[in-house]
Formats: sequence, structure tokens, C-alpha cells
Amino acid sequence: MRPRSAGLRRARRLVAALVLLAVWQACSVVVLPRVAPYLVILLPPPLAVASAFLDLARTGDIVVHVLASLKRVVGAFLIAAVSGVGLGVVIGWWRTFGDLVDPLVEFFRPIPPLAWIPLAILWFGIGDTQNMFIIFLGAFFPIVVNSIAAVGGVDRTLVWGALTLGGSRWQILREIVLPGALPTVLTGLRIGLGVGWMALVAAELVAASSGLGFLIEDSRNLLFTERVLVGMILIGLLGLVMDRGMRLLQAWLVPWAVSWR
Amino acid sequence: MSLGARGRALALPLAFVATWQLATGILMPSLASALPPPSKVLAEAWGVLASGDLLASAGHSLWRVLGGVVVAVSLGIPVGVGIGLSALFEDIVDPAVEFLRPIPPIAWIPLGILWFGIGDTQNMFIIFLGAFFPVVLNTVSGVRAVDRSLVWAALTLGGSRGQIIKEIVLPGALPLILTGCRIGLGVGWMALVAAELVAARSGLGFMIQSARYALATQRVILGMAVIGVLGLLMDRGMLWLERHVVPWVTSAR
Repeated sequence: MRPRSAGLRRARRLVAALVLLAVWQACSVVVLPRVAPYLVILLPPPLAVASAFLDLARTGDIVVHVLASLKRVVGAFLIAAVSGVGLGVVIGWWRTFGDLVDPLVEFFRPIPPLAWIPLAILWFGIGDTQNMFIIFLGAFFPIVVNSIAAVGGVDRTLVWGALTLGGSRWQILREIVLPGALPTVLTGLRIGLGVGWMALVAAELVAASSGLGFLIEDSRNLLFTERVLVGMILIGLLGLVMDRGMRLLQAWLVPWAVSWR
Repeated sequence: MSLGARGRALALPLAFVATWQLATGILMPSLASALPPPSKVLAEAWGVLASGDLLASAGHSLWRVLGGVVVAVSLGIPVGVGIGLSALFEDIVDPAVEFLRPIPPIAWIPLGILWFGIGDTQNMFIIFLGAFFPVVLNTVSGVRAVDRSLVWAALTLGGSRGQIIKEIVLPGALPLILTGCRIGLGVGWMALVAAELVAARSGLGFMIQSARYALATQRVILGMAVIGVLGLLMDRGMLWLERHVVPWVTSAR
């Protein structure tokens, strides 16, 4: 528990990561073939994964799949963001409406977005519309729920103060409620983007002919395990980049309400 | 909740179900293959309850979730306590955790199929991955949130390392550990559905996927409802447990 120098800790972490990679490489190249040659198919060494990535990058396949996934996520997320924040603010702000509509949101919320996949295939077939519907469902509920909570969490004294000073309903909504709700709304958007990304992978596994989810399922069928790993790592990396991007947006828009991690 | 408020809360869901019944049952019966009316879903519920299919599917799913989550909790808590207490352990384990954590459990499904084939082991592996990281991360935060002066006081009174972990760190971290278990259970349940959609021959996820192939849309919708209700019940159960085990933590949600 004693504080140690940051340099020593960074070095230790780097060594730990390198040792892990070396153990994985040795395990795949030396140990697994001795046990049974076919086992290498199950866990290709990191160098094979890297060269599979370079292959996919050279042919341009990887760009196609990444763009297909990103296009679906961005499209569906934008729809979910606009409708989710809009509905959430209205539910949180206008109580009579909220008392009516909130139960309907709670009625649908417990169903995981992934459980909609079979029904969505029946409705939309296979492809972009189905995938975007699943992402939309994944992103929509965290956004709505956080927007409702955000409006409810706005400091009442500020609202009363503005009322005392003769502010109109519209002014109060624009000048006090929306800025006050912004930090939690942004948190909802960040969580929604994360759930949407996870939902996309599931939707593409089952019902797509492009995208990273399709890439890993297709590569599994062809026993290209190193491509499965490339796809998994890219999915993780892109998810991380999107999450960091949302956090930067938070730091930029609401610097007073940011906690990293 | 007053009677009026309860009425308002029920109004729109009831209106929704009524419109659904009216639209697909009476006005546009041609829609019924894509969206069967609630009456058909209820009739299906009665049928699969009577034949025992529903209970068997739900039983399989619950068994897998239980197995995956129990393994995730029993590994995740020690790893989290280790990371929270020891800088050396953190530096060794954390790079791997940070590398693996961003990969969603769903993205492991194809590799899980290659490693374990189709069935319980693969499903439990995916659930384990979904539940493990929330448990670890919340345990780490819980351990770090433990009041330092309590630890120093125990050290002053001659407490050993084991005693301090057992008597101070674990009880102090318990609220966040339980929160981690609840979140892990939720993510695990969602991961289970995905795993069963792709790689199972039983369970609720398999039930809705095979019902889709058979165009038995009423069974798809029934399965979705059961998945939602069971997920909600597990979440409520964990919240109840939190309230009873750590009543001093007042968190509404």
C-alpha cells in the first residue's frame, strides 16, 4: 500500500503485458502442437493474429467490415439519441405526460435488446434495418432512463429562483433544466452507445452479411481463428475509442461534472 | 401509490395491449403472422406451460446463468480484492484485464463455440465473461472505498493482514461487491440470450430462435416476455438482498 514511483509501476505493467504475450506465443507455438497439432487452430499465436490483421488490411476487407458496423451504429445511435433524449426530457419535465408514458417505457425496458433479434428478423429480414433496430433498442432505454433522471435531478431551488424572477416555462426549460440535466444526459448517451455497440455485434453474428460481427462468425465457420481474434480485438478497440470519445465530449461540454472511470 | 396514480400508471400499457389485440386480432388479421395478437400469445403460454416446455427452457437458462455467475463471482471477488490491496498484483493483472475488458462478451461467442462446441460449457463461458468484469471492477472500487482510518486502527491494535481483510476490508467493500454481482447478473443474463440464440439446443434463447424458424411468432413473443420478466425478477431479488445484507446503504436503484 506504500506509494511507489509512477515510472516503476509503468515498467512493471509493460513487463507484465510483454510476458503475457510471450507466454501466449510460446503456448501456441510450442506447447499446443506437442499436446495435439489441431489445437493450434483453437488458439493461434499473437504473431499469426498480427499477420492476419495485415492481410485483411492489405486487401481492404477490414475497412469494409469496420465501415459497415460503424455506419449501422452511428445511424441507429443518432435516432436513439434524438428520440430518447426528447422523450426523456418530456417525461421528466411534464408530469402528467410522464405518469402516463413512463409505465409503457418500464413495460418494454426489461426485455434485453438481444431477445428482439428473432422477431426483428421476421419483421425486417437480414441486413441494415434489422441490425439498426436492435442497436436502437439497446441504446434507447439507457438514454431515456438517464434523461428522465437528469431532469428530475435538477436543483429545484434554481427553478424556484427563476420562477420568482418571472421566468417563463420555456425559459426555465432552456436556461435551467437542460443545462442542469446535461451531465446525466451525456452519461446516458455514453452508456447507450456502449450497449448499442454490444447489441450490434450480436445482431451481426446472427443476421448480417457484412460488419465485424459477421466477420468473426464467418471466420469461425471457415476455421480462420486468427481472423476471429482480429475481429474481437477490433470490436474491443473501437468500443473503447467510442467510449473515450464520449468521455472527451463530456469533459468538453460539462467539465464541472466529469469523473474518469 | 394512490388509486388514481395506479390507474394512470396502468392506462397506457393497457391501452397498448388493447390496441395491439384490436389491430392484429380483428382489424388486420393479415398482420398476425408478423405480430400475433396478445390473446394468441396467452394461448401459447398456456400450451407450453401445460406441456412443460416453457419450464424446461427456463430451467436450462437459469441453470446456465447460475453456473456462469457463481464462477464469475467466486473468481472475481478474490481478483478484485487482490487488485485493490496490492500494487504489485495490480500491475501484473491489470494489463490483461484492461486488454480483455473492452471486448464485449458477445464477441467471444464464435471463439467460445470453437473452444467448447455447442451447449452448456460454451453458454456458461459467455455468461462468465459477461459477469466477471463488473464483479472485479466493483470489488476494486469497494476495496478502495474502505475507510483507511479503520485499517490503521486495526493495525495499531495488532491486527494481522488476514484479520484486516476479513474483518474490515470485505465488510466495508460489501455494498459495492453486491452491486457488482447485480450488474454482473444482468449482463450475464443478456449474454446468455445471445449465446443461446447462436449455440444451444435448449433454453429460452434457443426457444425463440427455433420458434422463429418455425414461424411460431406467438412463441417468439412469449419467450421474449419470459426473458424480460425473469431478468426483472433476478434484478429485484438482488436489490432485495442488498437491502437486507447491507441495510445501511440507502440506494434507491
